[in-house]
Amino acid sequence: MLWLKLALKEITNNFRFSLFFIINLSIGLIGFIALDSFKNSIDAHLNNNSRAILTADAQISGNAPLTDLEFDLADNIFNADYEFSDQISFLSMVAGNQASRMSQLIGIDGNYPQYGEFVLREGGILTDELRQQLFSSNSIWVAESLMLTLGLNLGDAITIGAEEYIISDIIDIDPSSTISVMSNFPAIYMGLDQVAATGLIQLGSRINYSRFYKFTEDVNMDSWEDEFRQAELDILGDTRRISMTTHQERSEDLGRILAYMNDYLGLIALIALFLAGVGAAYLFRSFFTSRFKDMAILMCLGGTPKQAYLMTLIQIVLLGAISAGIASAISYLTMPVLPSLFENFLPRGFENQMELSSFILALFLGTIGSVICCLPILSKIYDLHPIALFHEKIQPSKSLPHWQRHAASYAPILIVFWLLAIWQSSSMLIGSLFITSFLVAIFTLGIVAWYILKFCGSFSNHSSVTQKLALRNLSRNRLGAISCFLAIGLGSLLINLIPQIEKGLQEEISQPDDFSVPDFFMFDIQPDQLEPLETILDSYGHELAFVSPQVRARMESINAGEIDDFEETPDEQRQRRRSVNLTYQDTLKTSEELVAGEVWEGPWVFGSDELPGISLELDFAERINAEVGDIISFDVQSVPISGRVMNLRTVDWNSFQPNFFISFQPGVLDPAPKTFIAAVSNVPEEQHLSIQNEIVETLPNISIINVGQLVASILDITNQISWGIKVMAYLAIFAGLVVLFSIARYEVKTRFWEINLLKILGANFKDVRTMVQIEFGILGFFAALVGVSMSLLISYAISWFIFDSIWNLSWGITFFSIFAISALSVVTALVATMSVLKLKPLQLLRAE
Amino acid sequence: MFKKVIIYLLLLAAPVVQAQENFTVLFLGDSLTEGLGLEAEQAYPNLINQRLKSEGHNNISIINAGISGSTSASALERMQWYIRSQPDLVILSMGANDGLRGLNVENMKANLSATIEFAQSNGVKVALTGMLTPPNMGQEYSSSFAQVFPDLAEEFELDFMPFLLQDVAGIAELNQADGIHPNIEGSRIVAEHVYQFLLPLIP
Repeated sequence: MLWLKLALKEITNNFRFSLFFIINLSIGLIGFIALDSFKNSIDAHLNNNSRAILTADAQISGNAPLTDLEFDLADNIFNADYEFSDQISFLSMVAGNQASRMSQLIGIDGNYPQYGEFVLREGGILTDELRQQLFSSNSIWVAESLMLTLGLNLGDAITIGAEEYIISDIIDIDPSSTISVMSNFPAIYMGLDQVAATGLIQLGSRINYSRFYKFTEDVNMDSWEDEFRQAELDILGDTRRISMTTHQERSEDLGRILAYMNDYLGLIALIALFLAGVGAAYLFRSFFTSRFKDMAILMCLGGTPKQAYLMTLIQIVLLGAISAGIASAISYLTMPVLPSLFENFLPRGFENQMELSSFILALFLGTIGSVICCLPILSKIYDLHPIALFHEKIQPSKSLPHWQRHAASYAPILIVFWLLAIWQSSSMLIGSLFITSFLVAIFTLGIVAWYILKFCGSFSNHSSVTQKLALRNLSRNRLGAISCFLAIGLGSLLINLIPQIEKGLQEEISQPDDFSVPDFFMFDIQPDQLEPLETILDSYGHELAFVSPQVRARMESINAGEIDDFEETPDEQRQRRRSVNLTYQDTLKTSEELVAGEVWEGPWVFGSDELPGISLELDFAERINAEVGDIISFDVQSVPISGRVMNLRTVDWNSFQPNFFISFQPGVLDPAPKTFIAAVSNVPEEQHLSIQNEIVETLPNISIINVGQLVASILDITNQISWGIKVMAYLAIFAGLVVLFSIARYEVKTRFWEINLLKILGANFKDVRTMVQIEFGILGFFAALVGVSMSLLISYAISWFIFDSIWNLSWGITFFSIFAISALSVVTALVATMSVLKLKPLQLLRAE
Repeated sequence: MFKKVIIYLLLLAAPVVQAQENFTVLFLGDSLTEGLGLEAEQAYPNLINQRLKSEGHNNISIINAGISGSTSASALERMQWYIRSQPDLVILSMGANDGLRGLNVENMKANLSATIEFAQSNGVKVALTGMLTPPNMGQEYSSSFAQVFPDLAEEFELDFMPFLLQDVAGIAELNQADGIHPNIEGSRIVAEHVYQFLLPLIP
C-alpha cells in the first residue's frame, strides 16, 4: 500500500510529465484499437457476404435422404452449437396454361434462408408469416421467367407431378440463385412437407437433399471439407455419397481471396500490435530513464533495488492503465460514429464492430506489456549507485550488467510478443515468421544506426559550428540516438510493410484491363451451332466472346511413365480416370502469363519432326510433376496423341474467362470431336430472358448459365476486400505516423536540459532550430530509409510465404513513407523545440 | 517414334484398327459407356471386348467412344470423326444426359436421327439402346422421352435393346454413390445384356 501511495504521489508531483506521457501513450493505443477493431469489422462484414451466397455457414448434401450417421459425421467435425435448415431440390417438367417447362423445384423449411435476403414481389422480405402461408396451402413461389414463358399470372395454377399448385407470389431476390448456377431452369419454391404430394420422389428419382447449418458462435472451418471427406472415407468407405461445402469455399476463387484477406488482416493486427509495442516500449523506456534520479535518491535513503523496482513498476502500470483506459473510452465513444461519417466510402451494410479483445489487448499492452518492455532497463537498477545523483545527467551504469540477468530480462518480451503474434495472426507460421523478421530488423537497424552515427562524428570535422554540434550530439549520445533510430526505423518498417503487400494483393484481386463482366456462360456448343448462335446474339446486338474449343481426352502418361498427382486421392483418381478437357489456341489469352518456356509460333505442321506443343497451367504442372520439355500422352477419343510441354503459364482466374489447364498448339486437335465454351458480356437485364428463351428454343442442348448475378456477387465481395485492404493500409500508415509523432515529440522534450544549456551559453533561436533540424533530419531520414528498405525485403518474404509470391513494388508509397517520416520527425521536433525555446532558462531549470 | 505414332494416327483416312481385324464395333455413348468412376477396363464395352476375345472372336475390334456429359447434340459430329476408323457396327447409346438435363425431346430425336442417317448412308449398321429418365422429371416428359427410342428403331429398322441399364438402374448395390453410374457389379450386368444383344449382330 505504501508503495502504491508513493507511486501515486510521484505521479501527481510530476503532473505535467505524467499528463504528457499519458497523452502520448493514449494516442498510440487509440491507433491500435482502431486498427484492431477495423480488422475485426472487415472480417465480419466479408464473412457475412459470403454466407449470404450459401445462405448458411456450411452445408452438407447428397443424392439420397441424409441419414443420422451422416449428420453425426458432420456434428463431429463442427463441434459447435448450430441451427439447421433442410432443403430438397430437383428438376421436373411443370405444366400450366397448356404449355410446359423444365423447372427447378426447391422444398424449404421454416429456417430458410439463414443468411441473405429473400424478397417476394408482393410479400416483400421473407417473414415467418409468409413462410407459414406457403407451408399451409398448396401454394408456390415462382421465378418471373417461368411466369413469362408459360404466360401465367399470380393466382394461376401449375401442375407439378400429380398435384396442382397456385402461384401465390413471384421471387424478386433469391440469395441461393447464385449457387444454383448449373441450372438453366426457373426456380419454384414450395414447403418441404408439400413436396411429397407431387409424387415425383420415387425409386430412381434424382433428388438433391441438403442440410444448411448456421453456427451460434464463430468457428474456424478452414479444413472442414477435407476432414469431412476423410471421415466419409473412413466410415462410409466412399467420398462421393455426400459432400460438405463451407461458405468460404463456395467459390474456389472467392475462397482463395478470402483466405488472402484473412492472412492480410492477421498481418495488420500484428503490425498494429507491434506499432503499439514499439511506441509503448519507447515511451516507457524514456520514462524509466527519466526516473533514475528518483531511484538513486530512494536507494540513497536506504531503499533496496527491489523496492526501487517496485515503486517504478507501480508507477508504470498505473500510467499504462490510465492511458489504456482513456484510449479505450475515446475509441468506444468515437468508433461507432465513424461509419456514419464515412458512409459514402463504406460498403453497404458495413458495421463497425468493437471486440472486447481489442480493449483487453490495449489494457494488456498498457500495463503488463509496459512492465515487460521495461524489464531490460529495470535490470539496470542493480547497477545504479547513489553517486549517480551527482552526475549532470543521470544514466544507469554503462558497464554491462550481469549478462544472465540481462538476457533473462529480454526473454519475457520475446516470449510474450511471440505468443501475441501467434494469437493475433491465428497462425504459428505467420506469428513466428513475423517475430523472427522483427528481431532481424532490430539487429540490422541497430548495426546500421551505430555506423551512421559513428560516421556523423567523423564527418563533423568538416562542418560549420551548428552542424558540428548537431553531428557530435548524435555521435556522443549514440545509445540514446540509436534507440530513437530503432523506434523510427521499426515504425517506418511497419508502416511501409502493409502498402507493399497491398499493391500485390490489389493486382491479384483486380480484373484484367480488357475485363467486362460476363452475363452468360455457354457450354456444350456444337461446332455447327456456333453460326446460328452468333446470328441470334447478333440480332440482339451482342457478340460471342472467349470462344474456346473443348476436347475431351484421357491423360495416359508423362515421359511414358505414371502420372503422379499428389492432390488426388485414389478415389478421385478412379473417379476421374484422368479425364481432362483440352483446348487449343494460337497464343496466350490476356488472362494468361508465360512463366517458363516459350509460346509456339503458328500451328503445328502435320508431318513435322517436332511434337506438337503443350502449354500447362503452372499449379497443374506442379501437381502432375511436369516440366518444360516433358512429353505427355493423351487418349483423345480413341486416338493416342502426344505433345511436348513447351511452356508453363499462370492464369488469372478472376478474369471470368474460360480457362484451361492444358492447351495444345493448333493443328493437332482441330479435327477431333469437340464442343465450345463461350461467354456473352454487356447484356442489358431486360434482354436476359428473351435471349435465354430463344437459345433454349432453337439450340436446346446449349447450357446457358446466367452468371451475371454470381459474378456481380463475387465482384462485390472482391471490391469490398480491395477496399478493405486499401483502407487498412492507409490506417496503418496513419497509426504509424501517430506513434512516430509521439516518439519524436517525446525525444525533443527530453532535450530540455540540453537546449537550455545552449541558450544559457548564448546560442540563438536559429542555431538551436538548425541543430534540431539536422539531428532529427538525419535520424528521421536514415531510420526511414533503412526501415522502408527492410520493409521491402520483409514484404517480399511474407508474400513468398503467405500470398503465393504475389508481390509488386510500390515506389510511390515507398518514397512517400521515407519523405513523410523524415518530414514528420523534423516538423514534430521543431514544433516541440519552439515551445521549449519560448520558455526562459530559469523556467526550464525549474521544470527539470 | 512419337512422330511416327502421330503421323500414323492422324492420317485421317487410315483406320485406327489393325488390318487383320475385320469387324469393328463402335460404342458411341456417354459416361455410362465411358465407364465414369470405373477403371478403363471395367467399362462395359471393354468387358464385352474381353469376353469376345476369350470366346475366340479375335476378328472383332471394339472402340469405346463414350464421353461423359455428352448430349445427343454431339452424336453426329462424333460419328463423323469415328467414321474414319471404318466401323461396321455402331451401338448408339446416347440420350441419358438429355434426359437428366430435361432437354427438348424432339431435338434429341432429330439429333439421333441425323446420326443414324449419317451412319447408314456410310454403310455402317446401327443398333440402338433405349434410355429412361428419372421419375422426378414428370410423367409427361418421362413417357415422351422413353418413346423416342422405339420410334427411332422402328423408323430406321434398327436392332433395339429397350433399356441399357436394365436390372441395374435404381438398385443401390449395383450403382456408385451418385446413384446413376453402375459400379463394377452393375457394369458386368450391363455388359452381359449388351453382349447378348450384340452376339447376333457380329459375324
